[in-house]
Amino acid sequence: MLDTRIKVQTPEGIELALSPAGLLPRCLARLIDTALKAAVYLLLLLIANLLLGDIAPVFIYLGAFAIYWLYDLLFETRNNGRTPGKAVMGIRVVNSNGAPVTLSTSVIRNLLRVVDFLPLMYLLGAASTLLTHTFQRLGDIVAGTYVVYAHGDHEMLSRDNRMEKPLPLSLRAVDHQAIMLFDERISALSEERVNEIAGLLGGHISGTPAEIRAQLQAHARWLTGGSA
Amino acid sequence: MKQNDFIATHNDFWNELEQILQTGNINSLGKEQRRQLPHSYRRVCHHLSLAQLRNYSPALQNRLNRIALQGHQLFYARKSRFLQDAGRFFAVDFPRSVRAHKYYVLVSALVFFGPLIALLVAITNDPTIAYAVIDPETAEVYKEMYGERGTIKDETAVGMFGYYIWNNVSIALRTFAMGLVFGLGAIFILLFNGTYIGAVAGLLTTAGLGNNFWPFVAGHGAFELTAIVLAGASGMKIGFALLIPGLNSRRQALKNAAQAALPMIYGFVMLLILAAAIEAFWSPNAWFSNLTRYAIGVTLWVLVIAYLLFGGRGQESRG
Repeated sequence: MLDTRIKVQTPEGIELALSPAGLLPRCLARLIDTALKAAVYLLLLLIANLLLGDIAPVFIYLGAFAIYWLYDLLFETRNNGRTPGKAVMGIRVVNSNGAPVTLSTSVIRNLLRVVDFLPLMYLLGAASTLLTHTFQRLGDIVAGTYVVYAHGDHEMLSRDNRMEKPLPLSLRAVDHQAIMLFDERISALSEERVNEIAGLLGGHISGTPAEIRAQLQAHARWLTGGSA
Repeated sequence: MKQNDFIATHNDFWNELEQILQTGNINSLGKEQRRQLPHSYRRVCHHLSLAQLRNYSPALQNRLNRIALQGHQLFYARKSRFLQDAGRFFAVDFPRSVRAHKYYVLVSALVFFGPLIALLVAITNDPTIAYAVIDPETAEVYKEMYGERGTIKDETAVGMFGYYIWNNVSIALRTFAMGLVFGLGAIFILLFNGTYIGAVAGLLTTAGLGNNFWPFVAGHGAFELTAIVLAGASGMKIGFALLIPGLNSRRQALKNAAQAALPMIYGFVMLLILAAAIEAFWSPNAWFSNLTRYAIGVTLWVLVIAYLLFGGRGQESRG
């Protein structure tokens, strides 16, 4: 329904919808990962210098290498497309067919961080994320990966269908969907927003906002109705 | 069937499947669950299809979409076969990939070795040219570094190994990545390194330190310089795909080029690890005469080139 969804065809002949994650959750995820990397590196410096003496340098260099080049790669391939930062933000990396990211695509998207980082602070990657409708940075485009929300949006299934009311006029399928979506999202919206949408959606109904809202909900119940 | 009846009929099945998919890992499922998974997955796909067709509410469609997506991810997850295939990779895939990109490799070699050799020759004729590239203070550091054999050995070899990995592999990986900037990034790094290495070599040779410098680099040169050339080639490959995508869209051309360049990337990382080991543990030691060390260096060059030219010929392609 939303135009940012990415549709993926599966061999079973169905279309799955992926919700790509926008700039903000991705920036926050990166911030968390960067902080974590820095913390691990400082810890490594401390431990190596205190305990290892002469052989400390090799651990520091190899550790720096692993943190810089392998951290994202290992977490993405081992933990279902999620680095710790991404896991906190509820996002993950998937291949373009919706399956979990593989070694080869993860290698490519993470090596190309170098370019996305240019000229500083991931400016190029951020621009690319904003300019592509699939929210991909350059590394994602070249690797063929998406960063998507791990879970869909709202879910509300149990509905009281006692007060259902048939629709007085014949509407298109998308309008049915809009009425049901309105009903399902009411709990997540502010009172003012609910009334505003009710006014737009129930243009044919006269009455106070509360009455319009109640009638729309009754229509929604009628649409989903049944014996349950 | 109205939506609520549909939910009432199947809700238990969805809840159960959600529980199973929650684990997210095929290995943690029981034998019976694993046997059931294909069937359950197809069934929920069917339900999603029905929900879309019958215009059930967005919440229900979202839920079924999520279950089907999780099932799809579990069902179609590919196990990485890289480690299992490592043997075949070294024997066949890597040298084949290099030959498949021979023009990129040749251009990359030209861009890297061209300024290196030109500068070396120029500096041999006129030593002051070196200072056009290296500032005098840094030049003194290099001269001191190679002044006496002992100064190199002072660093613990293991530490240097770590440093070479961190420094050299990072530069090579960056060379590949910067190739995305229309190939120019990779070319710039190649030119820069070719020029700089040529200048340092010329500087030390004309300063009379050639007998310390050349035997030192002879051992690991074959691996390290080849790896730099391959890093440049892989970077040019993606830059070229961006410039001239051919019959594909730019997006698709980039994807194909990066996938095709992957064996070279794995390959040059491996060469650089090898080079780092040699540079750290073999190169600083003077157990053998300079002549022996040159001979070993030349032999390694011949082996590396022969490996890349002839490795994996006549083998069936994995396709």
